[in-house]
Amino acid sequence: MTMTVTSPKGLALETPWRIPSWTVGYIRPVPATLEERFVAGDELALREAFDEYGPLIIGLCRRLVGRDAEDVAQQAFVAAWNGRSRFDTGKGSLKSWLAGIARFKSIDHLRAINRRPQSTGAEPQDLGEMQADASRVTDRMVLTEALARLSDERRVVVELAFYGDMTHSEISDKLSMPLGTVKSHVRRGLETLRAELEVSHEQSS
Amino acid sequence: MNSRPDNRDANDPEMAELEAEFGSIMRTLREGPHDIEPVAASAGLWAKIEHDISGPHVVVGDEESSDATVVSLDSARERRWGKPAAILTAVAAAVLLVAVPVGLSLGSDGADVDDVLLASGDLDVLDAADDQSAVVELYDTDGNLWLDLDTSRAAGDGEFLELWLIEPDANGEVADLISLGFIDGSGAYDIPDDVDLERFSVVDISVEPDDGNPEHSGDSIHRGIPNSA
Repeated sequence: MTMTVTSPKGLALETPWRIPSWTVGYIRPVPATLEERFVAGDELALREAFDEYGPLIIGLCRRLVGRDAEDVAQQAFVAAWNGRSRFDTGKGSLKSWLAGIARFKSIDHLRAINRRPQSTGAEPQDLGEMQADASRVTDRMVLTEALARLSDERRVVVELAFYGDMTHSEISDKLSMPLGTVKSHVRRGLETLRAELEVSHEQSS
Repeated sequence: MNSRPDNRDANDPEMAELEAEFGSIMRTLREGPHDIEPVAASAGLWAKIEHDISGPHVVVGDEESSDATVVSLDSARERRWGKPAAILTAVAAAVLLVAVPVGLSLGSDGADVDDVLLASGDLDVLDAADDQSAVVELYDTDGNLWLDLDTSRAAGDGEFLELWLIEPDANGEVADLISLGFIDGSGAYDIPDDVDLERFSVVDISVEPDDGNPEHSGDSIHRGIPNSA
């Protein structure tokens, strides 16, 4: 139904607004992805990301910083939101972006703690080592999560190749899949995983 | 430490190529899936995040200085304008909205960031029986665009009010739209950097059912095109 919008009484003539006519019951032409809505500033997309990825991000932070996990996860979500214009929707997932920011925030947190006087006389930790650990843990999480997003066939091939430690020929035999297809899945899969890893390595700010 | 024996694929040059290109990824993958346990967020965490992101933020202070502090736009404006809500209410009461093309910095030390009013106006009410109003002003603060919305509207139970920018096509139909988020009465709403306002020229407020569907419900209550200041 098309409805022409008319200016309500009292506002006509004097109002500096142009009055367009509209189809009121419209539907958005192309549904936007979570990533697109996030970058566009849709707070509902942030809420969805929090509901969906929050537990994993908090879990990651708990592994990296311990009991301050929620504080760091909070900082990560806020930084991801404020830095959303730097997120490239075409490159990878919001999950990887969030994980990478959680890693940076965790390292910041550890660095701050390390600067404080150690009242307990505990040995200050080696910062370089902590950073390397945090990166290893985060990379592994990003790759595992990204792997789960591959198409079923590609995911199975990549899992057999790396989790199952099988050669391409063995996978080809096992799945009755042409060797060329196996190789192609492995390469394409690795390319996707690399893009996700790169998204997680970008700084939010 | 988990590297596999090289000899298994020794006669496969493609494998060597993959190792060269994706070596570190492949080594990480061979360590197996991650073992991070998801941890449910405690009840107040979302509210804290929501609090931290509410309202656009501007940098206040000497632009040349690297130690400028980031403060909430609301407090920044309040400092310079006194009570912006009172100004807006007065403007709304006059119905005819006079666009004021000024840099509204009241400070004389040049340190304040200027909020430049670019456009403004009353949004049309789409239901003639509806007596509520919504007034928007479009500001540019150092290249960051934001909308100042003044309305007494509040969402009813089980629904939200959502603010949109719409790109009309040649026939006045919707070509594309961008959500600026949910609104709760008056407030300042940031416009993402890459939005072309020549295209997304129409401001729209819709009633959205709490159904998890992020798309526009089609149930608009206000709409209008800001008039250039």
